[in-house]
Amino acid sequence: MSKKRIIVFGGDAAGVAAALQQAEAGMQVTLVESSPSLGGELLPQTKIVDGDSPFLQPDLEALRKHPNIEVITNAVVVKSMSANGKYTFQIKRNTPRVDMEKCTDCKECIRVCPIHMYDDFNEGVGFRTAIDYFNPETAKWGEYNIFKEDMPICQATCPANLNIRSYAALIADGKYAESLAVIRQRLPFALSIGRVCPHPCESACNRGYVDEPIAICALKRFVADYEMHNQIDPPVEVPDHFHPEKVAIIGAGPAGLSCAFFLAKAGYHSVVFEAMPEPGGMFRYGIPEYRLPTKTLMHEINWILSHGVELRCDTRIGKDTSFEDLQRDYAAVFIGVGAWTGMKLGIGGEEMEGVVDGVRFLREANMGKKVDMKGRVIIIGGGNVAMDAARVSWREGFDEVHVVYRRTRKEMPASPWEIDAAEHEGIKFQFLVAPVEVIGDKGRMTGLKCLKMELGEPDASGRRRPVPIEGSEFVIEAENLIAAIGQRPDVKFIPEDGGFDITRWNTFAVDQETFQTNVPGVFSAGDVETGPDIAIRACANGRKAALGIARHIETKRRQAA
Amino acid sequence: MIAEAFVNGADGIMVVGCHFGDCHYITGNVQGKIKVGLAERVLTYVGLNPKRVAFDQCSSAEGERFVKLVTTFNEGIRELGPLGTGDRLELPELKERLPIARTALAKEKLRWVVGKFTVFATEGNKYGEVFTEHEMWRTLDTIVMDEVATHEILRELGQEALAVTDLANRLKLPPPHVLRYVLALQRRELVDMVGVDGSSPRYKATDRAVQAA
Amino acid sequence: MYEKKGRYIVGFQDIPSERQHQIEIEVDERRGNYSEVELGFDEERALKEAKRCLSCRRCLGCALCWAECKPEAIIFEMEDELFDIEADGIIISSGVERSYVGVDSRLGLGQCHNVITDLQLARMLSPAGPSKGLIIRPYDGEIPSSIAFVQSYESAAPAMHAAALCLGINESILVRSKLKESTIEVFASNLEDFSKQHQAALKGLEKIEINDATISKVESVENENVNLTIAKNGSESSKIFELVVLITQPQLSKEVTQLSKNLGLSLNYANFLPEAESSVLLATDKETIQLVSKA
Repeated sequence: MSKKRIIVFGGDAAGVAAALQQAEAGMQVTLVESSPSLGGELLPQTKIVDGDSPFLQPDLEALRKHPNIEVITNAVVVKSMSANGKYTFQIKRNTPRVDMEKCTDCKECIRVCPIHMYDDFNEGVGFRTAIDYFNPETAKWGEYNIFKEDMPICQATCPANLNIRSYAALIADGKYAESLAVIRQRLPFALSIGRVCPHPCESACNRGYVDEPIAICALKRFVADYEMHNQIDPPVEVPDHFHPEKVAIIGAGPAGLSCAFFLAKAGYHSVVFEAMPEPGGMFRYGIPEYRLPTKTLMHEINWILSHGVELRCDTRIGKDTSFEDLQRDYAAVFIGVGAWTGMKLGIGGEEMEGVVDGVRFLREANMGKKVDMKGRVIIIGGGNVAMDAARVSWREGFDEVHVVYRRTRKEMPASPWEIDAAEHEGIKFQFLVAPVEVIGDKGRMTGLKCLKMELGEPDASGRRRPVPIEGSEFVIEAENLIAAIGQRPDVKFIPEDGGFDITRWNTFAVDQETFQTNVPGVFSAGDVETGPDIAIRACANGRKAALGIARHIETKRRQAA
Repeated sequence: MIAEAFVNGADGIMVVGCHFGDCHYITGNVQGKIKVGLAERVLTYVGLNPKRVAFDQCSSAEGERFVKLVTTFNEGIRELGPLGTGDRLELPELKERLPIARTALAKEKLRWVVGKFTVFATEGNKYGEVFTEHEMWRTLDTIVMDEVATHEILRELGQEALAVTDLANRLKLPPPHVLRYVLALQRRELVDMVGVDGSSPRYKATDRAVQAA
Repeated sequence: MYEKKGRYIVGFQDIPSERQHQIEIEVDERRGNYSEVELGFDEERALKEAKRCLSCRRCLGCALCWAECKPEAIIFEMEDELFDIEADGIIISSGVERSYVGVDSRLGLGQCHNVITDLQLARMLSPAGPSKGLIIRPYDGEIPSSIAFVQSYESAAPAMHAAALCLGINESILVRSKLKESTIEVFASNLEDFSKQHQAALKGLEKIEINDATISKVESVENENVNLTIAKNGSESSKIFELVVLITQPQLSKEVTQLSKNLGLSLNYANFLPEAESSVLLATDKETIQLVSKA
């Protein structure tokens, strides 16, 4: 028992060699490999071996026979913990669905298997069948396994893991209500997400390899629109009896309302506290009206509220009600206040009149606040907030809208179709330009001093950094400037002695399964946990938090009994 | 059965079942619809015009409807003309390929899968996934394409050793497709590389494959 | 719009078919108001679009294998196993993963049948691989008589560049040992440091020509052969090869990246490449965690 225990992650030739070396040195070794077989990556990368066989030769025979080595293939790490110099890993071994003790390698199964599929292991050279064997050299005669996807690639890519394959197929069958029901199992915001989602699922769609990806997002929107346009009452399905415990939710945005929705499904009433006059969070105050009309959003929110959710607007926690009151009065508290503080540019003259941050600009536009929008406006940034700000500015009546970005179009984080649309509307882009100083007259901005940039050598991560070109300074004349270079959460409403674990990005640190913060009974999700991210992730995590909250309350109830 | 009829020279086949939920054999008509659909796909793949195969529903009390269905179908076939006209392939070639459809349809693979689909649509598969119609046909389409190509390749390689390019020429399939099937068959020990002729590896069906055929 | 590596999808009859587009209001209807720009699908478009879905699925769950398995070794009910393991020390190996993100789209990957990656070639070279160790052209299964290895990324950090080149050249040596009569050429740029470092090995390299050149274009020509446009010493030329192998950048797998993050390390692939010939294990910031050297 005194033997030191070593885990080797990675069963490539180098990993196998390391495992053997450690075992020889007297350690107890566990070798964990994610693929079903050992011994990949057989060619040296640090020297040139000119002979008939430059292959590295992992000694798999010795590995198998060594008494101090345990090999676990087809396994991934789920969780890792460390304390006092010791590590504990939770490992998941994917089932092969074949009992290798009984298998006789007759290959009858792969002869009858009707599925020819892309062979991931062999990088698409040849096919594999759904049941197949791997690398006959590693085991007695290779390890047989049935390859069943956990989820199709679209579903696995979706932060909410929506069952896209099913809901698209149900639309193809003309079963729209059933399709919408499949979406709503994991997402209450089909109307809204169907309009605003940057749909990472479509970028992953396999059909993109042969022609164009399926328009998944628009399909989701279609079934939701179909219900709304045909005045079909969306079903409200909640348990017959609600539990006595109530949950407080701070923030009526995508995360908070998703959490409230799934709490209701689990039989819990919640009260949602919202600082703004209307619910919706960034859906309402961040996303411009031309992408998501308030009327549509409210249709969806009213339906969510009808599940037994109470909404209190114009109620700011820390001002109108204290955080401690919520902790005292409710069985659990969920924090989903988003990230509403625009980042400063950090250049001179930023405090001048005419300079505003992106989220504030969008919020005021969404609230219908009229400012004097004439002449030229400069937007700084390359993300979707910058695109929204640019397109809103154009609608508000600015004569010229310029987007200034320090890298090139290729590096812009905004969705390509948003950039296209902005360009289509006549917005001008200036790439490889960085702001230096806001210049003005009597406290009112008149222009922006900029510097031209060029892309330098790639760094270790492979990204090419922009570097300034010396002496390339120039001025863009403009009366207004919108800085859309990112936003952060504001967590000042929680008491300083609350003992919360706050990251250096001003976000809550939570358990990634339950979304509970380090303070028991307080949960958090959405932008205030992830930092600025896409809406569907906030919805997805809000749902996970709801499940975490329900489990927390049940545990407490059991303990009390 | 349907393929058999075409092999024997029929110009069109219509299958009429009872209405859903109205079947003496409970799910016989559901099965029938899938089976006819499958035969239609296999036959289309070997070159037949899908209009030559039809499935419809009619109860024993709807005599008039029955007559109308049959007449319409008959007119359609008359318009197409005899086998080999209005089809993707013309006669000698079509005739040659129809038996492949018959073999593919008679083999355990398609029969098993098609038999399972009524279960898939209601209870779901081994993983509890319930299939929609769209999913079912997508899946069947892939399997049909693979099965027909596999049988075609095995038939040719059962007769002589061929390179992938020769095989592709004969079967009028893209060479990369044929290559993948040949490699997959090799993995299943149904095809073997028997030598290299210049720069062309040649493949032949193994004894096991010949016996199974 | 999306960079991808080629992936095989069966030839459904509706491929290719056009993706449906949402109805949009005109640009001149948008100024000065907030009318919704995209109006979604009508029913017809939605049906068309939904029918394009390939319903991707691996195992179908039909259980035919189960029915045919005489020793009854197939057990669909077998579940994933979850368990804990404890350790006093951790050793991480980089694993095999290549990056296609930096692959220049002009290099024909996914467009030309006979352009493959170094990883795909490695699989072909394996006796247990899909072609049983035979080097063949993915287009027609023919054995190529001329093969070019082409650097697929614009530039990389020196250690990463050297690792990619070593792997590529080692592969070319293996190819040479299998195909004795074939022409083999390597095209790569920024070779100065690399040549110095591996001077001895490169000097003795027979029948493999290494060119300090960049490839500006790759296209399929007759018989799916591949034409390379070669820029060398300021002049341009072209040459036809029967098979082209792209030398790619190695990268850490998602699992290793996630693991290192969980362990409080920030690793990239270069961490696994030792600066000089050294021992099997490399140290990290943490005493109990070591990396397996690539040397």
